[in-house]
Amino acid sequence: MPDLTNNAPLLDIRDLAVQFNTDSGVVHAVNGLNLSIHRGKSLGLVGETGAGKTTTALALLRLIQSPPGEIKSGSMFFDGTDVLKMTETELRSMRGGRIAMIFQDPMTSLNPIMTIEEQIVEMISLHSGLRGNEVTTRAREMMTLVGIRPERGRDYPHQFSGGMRQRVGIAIALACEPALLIADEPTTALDVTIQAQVVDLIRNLQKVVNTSLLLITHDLGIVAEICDDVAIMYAGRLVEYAPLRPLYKRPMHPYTQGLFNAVPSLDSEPGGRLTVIQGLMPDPTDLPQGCGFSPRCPAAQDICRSVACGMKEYEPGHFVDCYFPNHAWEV
Amino acid sequence: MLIPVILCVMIVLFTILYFTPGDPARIALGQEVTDEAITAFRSARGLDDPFVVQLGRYIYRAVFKADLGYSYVMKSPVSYELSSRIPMTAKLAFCAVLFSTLVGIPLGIICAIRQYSILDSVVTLVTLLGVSMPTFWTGLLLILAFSVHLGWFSSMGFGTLNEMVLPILTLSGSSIAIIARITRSSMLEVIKSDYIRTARAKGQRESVVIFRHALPNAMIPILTIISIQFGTLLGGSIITEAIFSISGVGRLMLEAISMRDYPIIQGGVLFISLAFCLINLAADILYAFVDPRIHVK
Repeated sequence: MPDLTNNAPLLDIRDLAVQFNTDSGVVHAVNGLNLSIHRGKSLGLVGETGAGKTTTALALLRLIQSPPGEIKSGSMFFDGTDVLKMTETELRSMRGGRIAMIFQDPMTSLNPIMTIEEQIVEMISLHSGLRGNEVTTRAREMMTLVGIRPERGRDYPHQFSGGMRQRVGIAIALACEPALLIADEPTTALDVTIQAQVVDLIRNLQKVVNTSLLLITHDLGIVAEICDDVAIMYAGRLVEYAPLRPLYKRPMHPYTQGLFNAVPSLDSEPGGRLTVIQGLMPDPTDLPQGCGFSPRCPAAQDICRSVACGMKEYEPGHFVDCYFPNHAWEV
Repeated sequence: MLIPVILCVMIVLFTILYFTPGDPARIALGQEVTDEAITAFRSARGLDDPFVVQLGRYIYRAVFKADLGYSYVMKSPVSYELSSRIPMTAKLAFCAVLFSTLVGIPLGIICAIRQYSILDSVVTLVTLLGVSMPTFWTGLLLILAFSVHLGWFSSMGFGTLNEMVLPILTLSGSSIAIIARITRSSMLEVIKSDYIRTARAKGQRESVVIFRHALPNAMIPILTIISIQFGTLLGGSIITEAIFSISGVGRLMLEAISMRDYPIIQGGVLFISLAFCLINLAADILYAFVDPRIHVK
């Protein structure tokens, strides 16, 4: 049973496995994932496209389309309750009310034929208990908070730019002061200048509302700005998990090291090539035996190809799923 | 758009009828008739004039004098004949389109929500049948079952509620099927979209997600198909009217065709095309109410 004291993590995902049963085989999207977030903290979930980051978030909200999706095993304790055992009513009050999500693509994630205000109001009237004019007032407050003039509430999504739409998404997500905010690549679809604004906005609001944050991204820069802890995800499982500083200072898993090597820095030579990780992500319908990263790993030994290592705590709080961490990459 | 379409309809139809075999004078006057009478009939109606003159005269009168001519057979003005029959046909088509919308849309929604379920397969099969069955066949089967064997409904006329059941069922069969299929595919597309996921992530009830978020977004193709069906039913009621002895525009035209009563045929087709165009125009205007991204210009 989970620890119900205040020290218990707000979110504790254990051994989560999600698969999609498709015509071309079973896609193993998430495989034995363990993850926890403490109250008021922010966790960056980093990985490349297809690593299972969004699937994890949708599984937490129980929004995996079924069929073809299926939560195969595991448990997800949110504030002491297993999300997988919740009734439909409990789920509905959790979605939006306790856990809110900002979606990746602001161009498609708002209803095109409802006004902005209607869409914010919908969220507020579902969870806040406010009635009548209070709801509208609250919606206008939220618009002001994210930097949209309240009189624009009568406009439709197509009358807004991408950055403004993302603000609407943020306003909706934060309207009911959720305990946990999931931000799924909130800046990927935006211009760099807008990205900075959105990052600031999320960071400030997170402090104001005191929510925990699960930031899903492949942008290590944004993680460094916002997050307390970092989890690196590869082929449906975590490969490294640590507080921000140790991980950025000394990434241990070969994949994490590869990710950092692939980031261009200001010191790199003009015209020079970035270091890429050789190979591709394994086919999720046919995962390799042993460690998922072994086919691409320069340090892989025979044992890596037969039995996966599992998470080991190499430094206090610094977990790595690797037999041979700290393998020096030849750069 | 409306005016060139209607003009084209008039010209094409007039041309086809002009070259159709069969002499209206002989058919209208019967077998035992003198050559003088036929000559008089033909010259009184200008049937001996060159093609272009006849066409020009017809369009000139129709457009500038709102005069569609006189029936060869009944000797009464075409506009009078039409206006006495239009209400019946309009009522039949309207009832049928209303019925097929009320049945078709819910069927489509259920299929979309329960995609690949047994219910979905059954509805798909039945709608396929509905599209494929010709109206005269459906009509006769319905009469056989519900009038002859069960004796529940009347198979003649279109006045009382009891008389209305079978014609509406006959006429709306294929429309129900088409509307249900369009609704299903349109809803399936919308349900997969990101903003539906957003609505669910808000903790909204599934019924509200479907009816407030998904259905209005799926409405444009559905509206289009309903308006096309309405037009088609106005014209397609010819056979239904004949089967159930309903004195609407359709039956008027059917009789006119067998009598080579050109002015009536032309008037009837003109009415149907005009109605078709106007219904589509109405649908175009409705789009703007459904979707704020579309503006009425």
